[in-house]
Amino acid sequence: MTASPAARPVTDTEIAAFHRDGAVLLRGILVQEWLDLVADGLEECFAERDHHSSEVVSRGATVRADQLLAARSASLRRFADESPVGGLVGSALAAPVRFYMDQMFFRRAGPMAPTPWHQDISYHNVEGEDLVRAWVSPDHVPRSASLEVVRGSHRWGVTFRPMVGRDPDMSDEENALRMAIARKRGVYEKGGDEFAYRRTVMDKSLPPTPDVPRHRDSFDVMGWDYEPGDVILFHGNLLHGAPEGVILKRDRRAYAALFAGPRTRYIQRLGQSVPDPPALTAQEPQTGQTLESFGDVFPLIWSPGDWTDREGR
Amino acid sequence: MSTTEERVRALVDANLDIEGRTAGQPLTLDLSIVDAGVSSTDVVAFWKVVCEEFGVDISAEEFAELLTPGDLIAHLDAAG
Repeated sequence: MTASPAARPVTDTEIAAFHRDGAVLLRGILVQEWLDLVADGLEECFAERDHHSSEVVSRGATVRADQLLAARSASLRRFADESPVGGLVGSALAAPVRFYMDQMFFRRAGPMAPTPWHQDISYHNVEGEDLVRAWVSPDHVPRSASLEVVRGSHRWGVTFRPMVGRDPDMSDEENALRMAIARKRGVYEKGGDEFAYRRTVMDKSLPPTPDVPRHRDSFDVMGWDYEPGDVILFHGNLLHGAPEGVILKRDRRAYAALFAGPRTRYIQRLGQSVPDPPALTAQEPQTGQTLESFGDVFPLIWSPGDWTDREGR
Repeated sequence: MSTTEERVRALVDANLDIEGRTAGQPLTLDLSIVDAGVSSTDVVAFWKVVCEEFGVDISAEEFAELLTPGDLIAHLDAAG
């Protein structure tokens, strides 16, 4: 499989910004064909829940989070394998990349459910310096509702504790009270049969995630006015979230795929939240194995030189 | 002998940070501690302290409905 060339080359300035800031908005880099495909796939998945579908409700605002979409949607399978996004990640890393997994964060117009600040890496059974998220939406997302990141936080050299799930130092009844209190605050989750963030176990050996909203002025927060056709690339170690208190004038349908470079390795995390692909579980992966060891699960999407003829990169 | 309210206030003073309140001030009886900025972890710890102090067994499910001082005091008085 090879990612299709983008509408334009990724510039050296954009690549430098990605490495410096941990994130970059690639303006106008996808053509309409890919946007139509991702919109179709997202609507298809939204219409039909599966065992990984979760609705997170926060004070009356809902976000639907689904996992491993390419395994259930032909449109999103094609987008992951053949759209330019894998090549964009590869261009940023100057390395071959594999498709790791994908997620949907689907919000209808109205009050917007926030996304708690977190790093992607801590939710998944991988580690390394070259896990990269490609964030795409068929919708205009204004700066006020943007995905936000803490600039440069991918270089802090720390993995933070996701602030979801069960506290292993508490009894079942104590955890039940925590959940009941969250519900009193209007925050709860309707999980799928095989997935819910609240079923995660906190890894308390990791430091707590910084409270970015509370101390926002202490952080260098950046976001974007996103237009369909743009792609946001950000590093798997980057702190990011989405704001609360926003009223969406239109849907905010996000497709977020993770791609991995050759330094990404499997690690069994105590605090794993997002499930491994079933095909990987069947192979009984061991901590330290590269994703290349599971080439049938994590297909190679792009290698340096694939776009040389047309894009010079 | 201290009243239930006085004993609950002493526990709140020693264990909880209520937004806008300093230790020793009267409790706002109808203000949920959840709405007053107390973290869920602190509520769980407070639940255990209350059970120990009053020698009562309140389930997590029950305590989740006793998050205002007024409701908690009424429950403790009824149990005592």
